[in-house]
Amino acid sequence: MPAACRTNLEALLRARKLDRTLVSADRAAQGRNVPGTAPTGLPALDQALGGGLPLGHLSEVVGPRSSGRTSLMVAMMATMTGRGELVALVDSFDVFAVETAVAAGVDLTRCLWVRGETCTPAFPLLASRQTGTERAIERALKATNLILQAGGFGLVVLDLADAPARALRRVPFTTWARLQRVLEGRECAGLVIGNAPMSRSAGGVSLVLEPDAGRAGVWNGQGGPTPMFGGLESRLQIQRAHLMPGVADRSVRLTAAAQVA
Amino acid sequence: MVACLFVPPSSTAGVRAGDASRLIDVARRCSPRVEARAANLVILELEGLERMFGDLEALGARVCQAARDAGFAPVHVAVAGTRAAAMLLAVARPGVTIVPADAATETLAALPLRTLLVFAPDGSAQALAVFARWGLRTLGQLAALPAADLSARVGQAGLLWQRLARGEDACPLVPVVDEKPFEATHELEWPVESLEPLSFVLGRLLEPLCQRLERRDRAAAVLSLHLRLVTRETYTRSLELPAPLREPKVLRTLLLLDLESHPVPAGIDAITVAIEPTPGHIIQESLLERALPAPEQVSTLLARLGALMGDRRCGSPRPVNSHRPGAFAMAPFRVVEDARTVAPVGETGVRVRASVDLSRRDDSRAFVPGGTRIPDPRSPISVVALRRFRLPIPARVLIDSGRPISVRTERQGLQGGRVLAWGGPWRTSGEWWQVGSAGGTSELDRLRGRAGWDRDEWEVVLGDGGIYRVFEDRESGRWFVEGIVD
Repeated sequence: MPAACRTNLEALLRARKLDRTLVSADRAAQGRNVPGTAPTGLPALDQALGGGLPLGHLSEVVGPRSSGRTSLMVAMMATMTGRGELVALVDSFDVFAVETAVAAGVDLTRCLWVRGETCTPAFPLLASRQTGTERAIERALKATNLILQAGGFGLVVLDLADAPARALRRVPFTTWARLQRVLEGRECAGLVIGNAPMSRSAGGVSLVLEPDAGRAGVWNGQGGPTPMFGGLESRLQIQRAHLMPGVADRSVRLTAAAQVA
Repeated sequence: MVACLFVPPSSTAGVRAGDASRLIDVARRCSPRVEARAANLVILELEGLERMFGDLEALGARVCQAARDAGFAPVHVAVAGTRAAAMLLAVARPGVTIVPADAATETLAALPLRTLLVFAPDGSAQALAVFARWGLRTLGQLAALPAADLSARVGQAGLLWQRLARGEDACPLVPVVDEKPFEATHELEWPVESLEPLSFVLGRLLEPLCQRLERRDRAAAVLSLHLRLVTRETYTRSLELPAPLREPKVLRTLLLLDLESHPVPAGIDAITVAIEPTPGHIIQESLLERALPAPEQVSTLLARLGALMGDRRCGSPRPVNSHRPGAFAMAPFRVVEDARTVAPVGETGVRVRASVDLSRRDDSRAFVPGGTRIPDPRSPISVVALRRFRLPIPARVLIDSGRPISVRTERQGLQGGRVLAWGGPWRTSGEWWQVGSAGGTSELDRLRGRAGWDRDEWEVVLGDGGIYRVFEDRESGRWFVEGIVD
């Protein structure tokens, strides 16, 4: 009886073209339906994930401010462009620091940068002017959709780390489902940067970053006359990875050093 | 049969600038298919013209008379079965020469070897010098050489010269085609005021233009749209395409997206589409590498993104040669087509150092002390990224003992708070020698308008756990939040 119900359910999903939205743990355990991967640039994380983020799925990197989300994003962009892939970054609030990408080794000639609304006093993230924020998020989502539909990119990053949670909650579920649907079957990894889990697809990976031991950053020469910021240390936990059995809840340490020219 | 019309350089008229086109015009009066081999030598295809102009003698005489009527004198005209034979005879013999197709080799045999120079006007035929050293004087002597021995001594070039000496063509006739401008106009009976009906008209104009481009192996490099409005003004848009395109649907989409971003101010009376052609773009795909997006896809994507996000908001970032904080430039996004090698996982130049979360830390891979190195892209340790505010956020900072102890802003979600940890200051300045456009109403505008910068930067940890980069503008004494370390 359960088998018949499951067959009926799968047939219904297939009729509505939603058969890829559910992942069977059994099938994943048998090694089927496991997509290709895009390396993240962290050997330990790639090893834990079996190669990197799954292609054809929307993954997400979430965490609080200064937890290393952007550093991980830039490292992955450097890795992908170093492999000859094209990378697209939808920068919802125009906060991408080009000099950081250069220092990280991103091949900028292979990088399409879509700059959203400038995060300025003229465009504040004020609760009373949420319309502007929502407009920026809507445009960023549309731009991501266009890039995914065009194809040809190995990595498409949607940076929503500065978007207020209230504005993100107003994004309809169907919007994320549409993005996931467009991405399905493509040789492209989708990545969303945010404060909290919001958009991972069924086969995607959720990576949660937390500052290591609750402290923010590493500081050299503290107590001296001129202490210096040394870098970030964070704990990166693989929260969900349905297509990769045995991977969930594993964690790796992320370390990034401050740059001084 | 073909005819060759040759104007000797030593003629009284000589060959002047513009004579090439005049000579082609003369030839076209006699034949629709004309090939221009040089400024003073054209070839006419005579197949099927006998019924119109008579036999070969009459055709030759007609060509000669047409050239004389145009002011060319003296002229050489030769009619033969092949173009090579006609060219050799026209160069060697004045007046009108008619040679039947089956008698070309015998007729050419008596011509001197140097006649072959007509096929190498720049004198680059080294093989002819070799033939001269061998003692060959006529085309017949060259034509009689054993082909295998000739190839063994001179190579394939020797065989080619031998075929020409026998009057055999080495390549097909390449007729001259008029370079008509790729332009189409459509007058509307009623003014068009929206994009939807305009798209149909654009489709009708672009499809034949693109067919012409394809026939000529050309593609559009610049697409121009001239709209005559009901106000008697002309509204012009010009799109410089990132890659040569000749897909009518793509070009129409690009024009419509551009008009969507730049609306037409009034109704449209007439539409003109003009295309600047360029040689077609040929891409050799590889079986071993992943296919890059097609130029049509990239162009359409950039146009759509530009319409959505605004002009100059999409592209490829570029660093600039400046120490100014946050300086960068935007370049158009182009698909790089070079030899790509997909590196195996884990062999790329940059990665964030990571280790499995165990109780023990790998001290041998500890931090490189901050402030003691310049980032190396090949380093196994990545750099911390900054989320930079394009316009720094003004902040109120309390100072104690020369260091910030509290940072607050008016920004919702970025209220700031007490400073828990701090690093700095880093003093930077530059371009103070430049004369800037100082002005503006606010402090921030004044800061932006100044050409140089002079400031002390700090990294601070605030109460929300975030690490911020703040700086003090030393000239004004104002503080700003520049970005978030992440």
